[in-house]
Amino acid sequence: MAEERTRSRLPRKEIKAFVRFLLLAAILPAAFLVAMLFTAGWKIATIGPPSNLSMSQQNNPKIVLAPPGGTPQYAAYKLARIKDLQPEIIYVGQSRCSQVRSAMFRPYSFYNACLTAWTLDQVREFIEHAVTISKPSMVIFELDYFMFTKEYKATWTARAKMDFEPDTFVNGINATLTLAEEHPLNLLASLGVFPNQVTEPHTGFELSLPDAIRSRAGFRYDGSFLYPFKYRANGAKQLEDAARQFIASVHGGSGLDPGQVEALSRLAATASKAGVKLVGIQLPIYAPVVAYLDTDPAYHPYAGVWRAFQSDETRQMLARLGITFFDMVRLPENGEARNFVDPSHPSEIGALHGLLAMSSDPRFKSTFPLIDPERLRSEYEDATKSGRIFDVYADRF
Amino acid sequence: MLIASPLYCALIIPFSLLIYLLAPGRPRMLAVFAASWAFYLTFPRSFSLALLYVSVTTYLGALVLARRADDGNKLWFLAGAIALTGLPLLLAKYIGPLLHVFTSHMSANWDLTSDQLVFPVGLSFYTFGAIGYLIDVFLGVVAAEQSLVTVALFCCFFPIVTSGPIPRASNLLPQLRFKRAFDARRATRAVTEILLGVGLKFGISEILARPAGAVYSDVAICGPLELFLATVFFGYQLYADFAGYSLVAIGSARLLGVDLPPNFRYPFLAASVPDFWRGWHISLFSWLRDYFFTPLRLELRAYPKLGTYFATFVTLVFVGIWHGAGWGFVAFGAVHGVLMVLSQSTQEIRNRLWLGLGVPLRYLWLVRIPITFIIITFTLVLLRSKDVSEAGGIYLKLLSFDLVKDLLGQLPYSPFSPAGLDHLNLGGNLVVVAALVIVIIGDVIEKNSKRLVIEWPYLPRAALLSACTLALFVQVLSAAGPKPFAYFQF
Repeated sequence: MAEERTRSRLPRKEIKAFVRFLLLAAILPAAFLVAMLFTAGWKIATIGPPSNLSMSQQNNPKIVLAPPGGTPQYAAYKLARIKDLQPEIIYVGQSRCSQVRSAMFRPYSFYNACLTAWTLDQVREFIEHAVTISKPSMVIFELDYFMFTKEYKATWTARAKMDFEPDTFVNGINATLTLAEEHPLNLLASLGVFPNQVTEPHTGFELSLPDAIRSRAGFRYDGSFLYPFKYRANGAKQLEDAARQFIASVHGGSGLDPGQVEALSRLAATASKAGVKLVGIQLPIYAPVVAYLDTDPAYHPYAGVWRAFQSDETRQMLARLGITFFDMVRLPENGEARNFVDPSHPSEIGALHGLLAMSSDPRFKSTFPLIDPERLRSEYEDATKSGRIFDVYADRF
Repeated sequence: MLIASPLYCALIIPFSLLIYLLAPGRPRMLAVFAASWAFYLTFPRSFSLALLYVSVTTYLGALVLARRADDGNKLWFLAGAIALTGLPLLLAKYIGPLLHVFTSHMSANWDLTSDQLVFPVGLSFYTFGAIGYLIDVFLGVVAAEQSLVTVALFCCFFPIVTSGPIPRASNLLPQLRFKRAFDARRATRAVTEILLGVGLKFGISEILARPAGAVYSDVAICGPLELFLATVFFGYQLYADFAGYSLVAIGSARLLGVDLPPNFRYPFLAASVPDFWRGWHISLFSWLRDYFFTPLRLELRAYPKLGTYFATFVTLVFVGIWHGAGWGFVAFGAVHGVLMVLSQSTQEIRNRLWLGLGVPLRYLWLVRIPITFIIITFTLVLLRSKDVSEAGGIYLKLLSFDLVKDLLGQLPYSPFSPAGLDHLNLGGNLVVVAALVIVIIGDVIEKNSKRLVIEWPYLPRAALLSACTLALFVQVLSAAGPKPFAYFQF
């Protein structure tokens, strides 16, 4: 065979030709594409530290965004917001408190850091970070009965890891690519080729970054979450078969897990050490679910944690730990569909209703002396009259 | 390590250059042999037992067959050697699932999911290669190789061990001497093939997998048009995935100085079902043609037509079973067998009919390509569905008038309302449509121009290859990592 030469060395001329091909046909053009992608990502702020995201929102409160990389990246972004806003009150927790708005707490400055911390240890970790960059006088945290099961802790520790130092380069490149793939026109718009930003048609918020543009949802200036319109429009449909939905999404247990009680003690110690007042709130749960937890005989063994959490012993323990606790799960209006997005998530008006109900508690005045309950009442009535469920405060922060 | 993974692509070029620094012949062969085993050991170690077993039985079997006088018993020796070599494949792929059926309950479904099977990567590919070698030695097509390392390398040659193409001894064994000198043109072509393969896998297949997966995970509520389009996406996903891997394998082998025949030739531009099989997984189909179909047809030569049809049908059923243990796979093979026989047996009549209608045969591809495509797409439902009953449900939808209504509904001024295509989310995934168009146009260009990408003008070639490099770069960044090769399970 003519081709079967038997030289063992690499002929320089052949190698040169090969390397020239690699460079000209593949590597250099690809490097050019990567550079373009990087520039685009940097320009639309998908690449870069979370402080860039916070600053874009600080400069334009109408921006709604979702940090690239999903849930694990939310904590770093929300901490950047806290650093920029320096709020007096921070609300930390999971998705149940995402509809609490800063305007509800006026005249206090407030930031909603929900959708970051699911377990009690995660709440503590978040507070530890928050107090190093800001000086809040109070931290409110979502304190739900189901947080006191081992299974919940195990599930959400794995699922909702908080990445306090995210790899913003990798996340950003991926987010830019997603945008280029799924919304190339939006990418061009963000680069200034077309009029900038994408407006959410029902609320007028400006959606920024791929996740927000794709899902038409994200975090507002005050940290509260703008649900996608499609989801909001479903309304009562999402409340069908409420109890089954609810118990499928949270764990039951025979009683309070001692490990979680310890985690709560550690959380209280952290707050106390930082000189921060700690307030726990259990926001409303849809009434048929509460009835189910109270009375269903088949679920009775798993509702032990639900009953134990409401016991006097638990309330005394919370008081001993210095936690002011407000329980909103048995409000008379918790059967109203408008107060819920789904059985476990209060809507914006539902959260306002919870806060209004709290204001009738004698401890409310001493905890939030500057909040005017009459103002809350009138805002609630206005919203009820006008049928606003999600946009009670719209773009008022 | 997955072939086509970013790490593999980063290593293959420097590794091949290092090989050329060694003296041709045995030193290079030993280096490639060591690399092949190192590559295979990146998969669970237990898998290597099957590879070792197949290598040794193939080597010994071939030696015994070569030394055996051609008496009446030699065929039995061949049968024994094939049975021994094929034992791991038989156990892992068929006996295991069958035992599962009988040990669980008799009415159990034979359709197992891939996670229920522990199946050494590439077992089908290297076992078929080994069996082919044994038959070739038996027939005297190739001489029995005296070196165990050479036979073992034939079985474990890293570019093809996990995903084919299925090697043929007459082609591969002589090239495993590694005597070629480095040639820039050959290397350039090899890298082009690797990059195109990577582009097909990461740039096309994984994109098309999204809408197909979204629809097939929610079959019950999807309409017929959505199901049909999802199956089209699935077909192209499978094609891009497998053809992509094959190209990476062929390119990798070429970098080392080994030429392998192509494994795909624009199958979705086929003008008939037999034409489809001449372009799809060519190494499997040609293997079955030479080692299964031809001997069977010879056995049945007393019945020229019926024997050919029977052999064709059985071969296609075999193709289905090769894909996996499950009634869906059997049905897939059987349906293709029937289609193939129908196509062969009616071709003359159909041609005469068209001519009688005044339609010149050279224009028939205009009708035949789309019809063949639709038929092939329909059969792919059997491969993509969870089980036969789900496939049955999908066929009921696809064969109802609703599909026509859905199609007409897409037209302007149609009396039918447009079908919802929410699961496909084509509007939000322009890149999916673009991916499909790129593959179709790429195939059409290549089929008609007969020019390899390496022969294209600089600009379109650089644009295409850099896009493929970018797809690889995206995989480096992707937290999820590349999805495994769909054909691993086969």
